[in-house]
Amino acid sequence: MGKALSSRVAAVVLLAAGAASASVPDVIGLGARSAALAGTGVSYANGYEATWLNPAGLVEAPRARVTLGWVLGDPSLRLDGAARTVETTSGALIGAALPLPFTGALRERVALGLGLYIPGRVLNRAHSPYPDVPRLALLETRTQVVSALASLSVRLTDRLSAGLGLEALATLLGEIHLQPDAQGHIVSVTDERMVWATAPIAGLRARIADSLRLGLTLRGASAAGYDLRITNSLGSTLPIGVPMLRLAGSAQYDPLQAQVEGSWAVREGLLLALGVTWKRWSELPLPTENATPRTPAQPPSGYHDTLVPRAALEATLPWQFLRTQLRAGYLYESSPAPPDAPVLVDAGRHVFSLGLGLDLGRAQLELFGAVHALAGSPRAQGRLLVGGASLGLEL
Amino acid sequence: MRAPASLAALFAALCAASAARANPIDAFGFGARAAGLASAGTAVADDASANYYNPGALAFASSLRLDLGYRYASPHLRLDGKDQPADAAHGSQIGVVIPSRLGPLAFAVGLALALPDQGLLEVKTQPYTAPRFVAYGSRLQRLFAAANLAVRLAPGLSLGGGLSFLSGTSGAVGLQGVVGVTNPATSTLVSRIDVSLLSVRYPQAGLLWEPDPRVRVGLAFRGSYTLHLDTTLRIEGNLGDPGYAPLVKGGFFEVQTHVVEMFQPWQLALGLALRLRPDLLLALDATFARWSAAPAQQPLTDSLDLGALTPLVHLTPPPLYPSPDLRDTVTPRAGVEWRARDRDGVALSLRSGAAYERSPVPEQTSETNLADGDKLTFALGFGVEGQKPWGLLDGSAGLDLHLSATWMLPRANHKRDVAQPDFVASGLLWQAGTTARLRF
Repeated sequence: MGKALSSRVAAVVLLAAGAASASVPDVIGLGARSAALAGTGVSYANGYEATWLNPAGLVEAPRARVTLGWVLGDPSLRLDGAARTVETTSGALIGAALPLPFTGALRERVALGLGLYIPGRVLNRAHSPYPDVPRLALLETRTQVVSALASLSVRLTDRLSAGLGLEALATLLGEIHLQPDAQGHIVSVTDERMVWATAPIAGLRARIADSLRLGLTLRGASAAGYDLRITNSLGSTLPIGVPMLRLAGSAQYDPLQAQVEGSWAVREGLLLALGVTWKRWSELPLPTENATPRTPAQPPSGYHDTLVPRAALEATLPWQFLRTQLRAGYLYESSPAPPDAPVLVDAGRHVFSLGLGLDLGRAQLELFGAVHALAGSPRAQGRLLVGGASLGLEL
Repeated sequence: MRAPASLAALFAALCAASAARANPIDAFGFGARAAGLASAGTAVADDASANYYNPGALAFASSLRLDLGYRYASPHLRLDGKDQPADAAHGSQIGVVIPSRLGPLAFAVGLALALPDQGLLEVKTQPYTAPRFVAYGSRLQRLFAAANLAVRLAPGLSLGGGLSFLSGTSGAVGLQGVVGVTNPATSTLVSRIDVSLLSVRYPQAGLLWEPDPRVRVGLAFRGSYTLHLDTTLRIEGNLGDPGYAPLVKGGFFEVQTHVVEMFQPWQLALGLALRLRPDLLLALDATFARWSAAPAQQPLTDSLDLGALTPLVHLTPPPLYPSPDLRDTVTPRAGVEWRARDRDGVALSLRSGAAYERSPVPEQTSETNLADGDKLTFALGFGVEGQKPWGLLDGSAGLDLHLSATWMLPRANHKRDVAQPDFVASGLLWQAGTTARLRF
């Protein structure tokens, strides 16, 4: 039995980011307005949420704005008829949109943005059972991962802007070497390093007419993992040999995706947004790799690419005393998992969202709620209730 | 039954204690201007570096400020006169100050980020008794982030503060399968993990008082934090060779550890800035750091079930780690800035500073070998700032440079046990950096 691993080994694994799953921006959306509008915003968002939705939009922010918000989620999931223990989602949203007040040729042409989702208690969670244990691969810990985004936006012409951003993730690499010391005690030398894993987010936005905008966003696959090797030169120090061990896997994964969207001001005070997102789930890496070379190979996930259609409507009420917006949206996130997936089980999601926006002058209060209903899988059922609020302040 | 006992010993060895460490900004400072003043910045900082030196100073900013910088530090460490391997530390520093008003209330939001090139975090451990440098080990390879809010309480008086987030860990790792007894390469193991990075929050706050345009007094507090790694390791399965009946079937070995991975003491910094002449600024700082609160490592606990072989196993008790017995320190710093030229919209400044940092580590007389010594720092700096450059800014653009050297003064460590070798630790740290500043 046992080869020795260690708390050090465990600890370093634990420093790796999240589980083999995706992030809050991908599951719920970034920003209360976008979440209320079914994750749309590629064609119209100009606050900090544009760091995820479309960095090109930041330059349309009229003033610097900081936003604080909170997101809550209550999952109720079942796999093969049995309830799954899934932690509730609870985390803070922090964002800033910062038009840089250059003068001359750069006037109103450059802006910066920062977006941050920080889970309330757990910054990152790596959760992956043994490879043969069935689990809801994309839902059980997706919202337990910190997300950090930074972007730069440039107005190219009066009608066209472009943006480029990065999503920062962490990947852990390292080695632990076991050796005997002069007194015959077994000692270790470790060198572990958490390095950057960045995923680019690029976007374009065009104002085709005063009432029509188009947006296109390309998000690189954001994959973060861990890869630790445990070697030894123990020789006869132990009565049994210690094999070289490798703890490796994927800790966090958002697939490569392209989102295209149009928004149309149907009439004054009424905005319609329609879009579709292509997600390259077929590249999903396995959650864990085998610890020893002779362990039989794990089967591939069999996941396929998906398309996610979205539609949303935002109505501004004609109230003079308080500018109020009502929002509603729908999206269908089809499952990338094959119907007969034995271990990495998943289901499609119908998402219905509602929201309210109150303009309080230099402050904006946003509220949203959404229901994610699982569908299309004989093994996975349940729902996810999500809600949140944010307060933005123009500086 | 030596195997399980050895496993326990092996596991204990892997729990090698980390040294007390602080964040890299404590070692290097933030921004080239403050670094050119030997980090005497508590009453001087009025840019993004105030996010570290004194959040209260953020509210003194009158316009949007954006700082982008880079620094490079090269440690040269010696034990008994022999060079020791030490990685250079280099990375970017980014900061922003956004001032605004709500009615009569002036306030500012500040953000600062230091990003090491080598990665977000580096953890190196060695056997508990192995010599290691406390000050310039992996403490240099860490991400630093700060977010603050500051308000003007009254003319000439501001208060600021914020929270920083770091993480500790808690969770479990397991291996399952068969371990080859005679040929380890035939082992077939798979792994599982369930580990969380838990958020650790610590506060920072600062007060800045300007009783006279020539005088500023600053007071800054930085909270303490301890990062724990609480971990359970469980190995379960069979011990045997392929093709043979297992020696042990369905056994397990489990260990739980509670390791202190990182410690930063709370700190209180008092600063004074005196404008002796219109072109001459003197900065004085004193920082108290409560290193004596550094915790000792905690012992691990273990359990196992090896079936019929269990009674034959005698696990070696894990070692009890002694308190590191670190000492509180007070670090004085002094800096001077001379505006050598200020006309035609261009200003040139020369800076210099010095600091003396007493080592918190006592002389190593027993089995531990924490290498450290008192540190003496000299710094030089240069700054240039132009108003309304190229018509692109209503404010100014500037560039600061700094160069500093920190000598770790030789310290002899005499052992009580003659079987343990005495050693002398010394070192030299070179550092250079630059910051580009935009004032809108």
